[in-house]
Amino acid sequence: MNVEVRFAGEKAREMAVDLGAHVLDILKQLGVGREVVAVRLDGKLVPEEEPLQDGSKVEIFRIVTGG
Amino acid sequence: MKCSLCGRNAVYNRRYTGTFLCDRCLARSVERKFQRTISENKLIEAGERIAVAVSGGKDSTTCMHLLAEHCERKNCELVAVTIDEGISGYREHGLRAARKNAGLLGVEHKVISFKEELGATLDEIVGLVKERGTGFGACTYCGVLRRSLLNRAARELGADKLATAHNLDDEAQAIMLNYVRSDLARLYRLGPSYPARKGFVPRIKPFREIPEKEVALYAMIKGIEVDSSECPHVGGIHVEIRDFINSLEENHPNSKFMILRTFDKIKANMAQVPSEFGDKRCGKCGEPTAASICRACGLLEGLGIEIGAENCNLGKNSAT
Ligand SMILES: [Zn+2]
Ligand SMILES: [Zn+2]
Repeated sequence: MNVEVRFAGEKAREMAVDLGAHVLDILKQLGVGREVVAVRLDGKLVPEEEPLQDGSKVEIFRIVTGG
Repeated sequence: MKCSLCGRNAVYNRRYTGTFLCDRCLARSVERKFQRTISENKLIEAGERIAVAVSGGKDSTTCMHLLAEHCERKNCELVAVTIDEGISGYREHGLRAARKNAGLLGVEHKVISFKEELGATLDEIVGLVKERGTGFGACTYCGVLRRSLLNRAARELGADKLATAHNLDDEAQAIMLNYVRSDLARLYRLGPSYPARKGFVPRIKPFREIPEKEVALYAMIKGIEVDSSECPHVGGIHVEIRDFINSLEENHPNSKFMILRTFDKIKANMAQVPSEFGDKRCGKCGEPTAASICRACGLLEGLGIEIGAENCNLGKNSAT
């Protein structure tokens, strides 16, 4: 299935994931650690264990910027 | 996923306790931990005047919000201090967020700039550092100079305490950094508070036991407007240690807390490490120091920035 992935402030991209994949699978594919991001799935904050659906919109916020 | 406490939709998996939390339960837990850190370590007494260092980033802005609420209840006064280091394309965003939030909360806000106080912006200092190859990174200059200016500002504002928003991640990183550098004096001064000594406003860290991610989620849940731009000078060993600890935490949840707890146990049993300050005052700026001039003035001198030049007034009004 396909999901739409966007880092806050950047352009969205399509990503293909396996059926039953979770938010964490996307972070792993992107090489982003769960300690340094917060994720919104279809507009709502979710834990990285949240399952994805076909067409889900995933927004990733980098939280480690200092200050 | 559902909240382990109340069954609403979860926003966070707190892996170090094995609990999923919803927005309300997470926010409540962060607020409780903030209160508990303050009361267990007696960080703030009723009626005190508290200065809080606010960069405009998520940690310090959130800290100001929680302190404003705390001060209201405890009859304390709160004043926000922002240091404008002069980092173009970065600091102006933070400054705007700091100003906006202080205004929103009705908190007195003071801005102090490197350029005005020291005669050079951090960008200019970094330029000189590259020219001269002093061996210190931008974060060293920024950290030392900012601390010196913050202490003086807090003292001049009549603050009883100076609060900084160092979170669990910051504290674990500082422990590891000073450990790797074998800097016992700096290691020893880490903790929830940094006691009063002549010339120093005691520093307090009410976020010390709150992981960075929980601070970020709290700010998002509460809709606090923060600046999330990244400092262009960040780099070096600080980043390597941060990444190392984050990958440790990912594979072994609770590592950050264990680094903190183990350090606190060791510290309680450490023989008194001689203070790096003593009772002397810097001959150039008047800040407390162990040597004849303080570290801030020493760093500036190494760059040929002359303290006492007319545009350079680190020491003005600093005698107490
Ligand atoms: Zn809940
Ligand atoms: Zn000095």
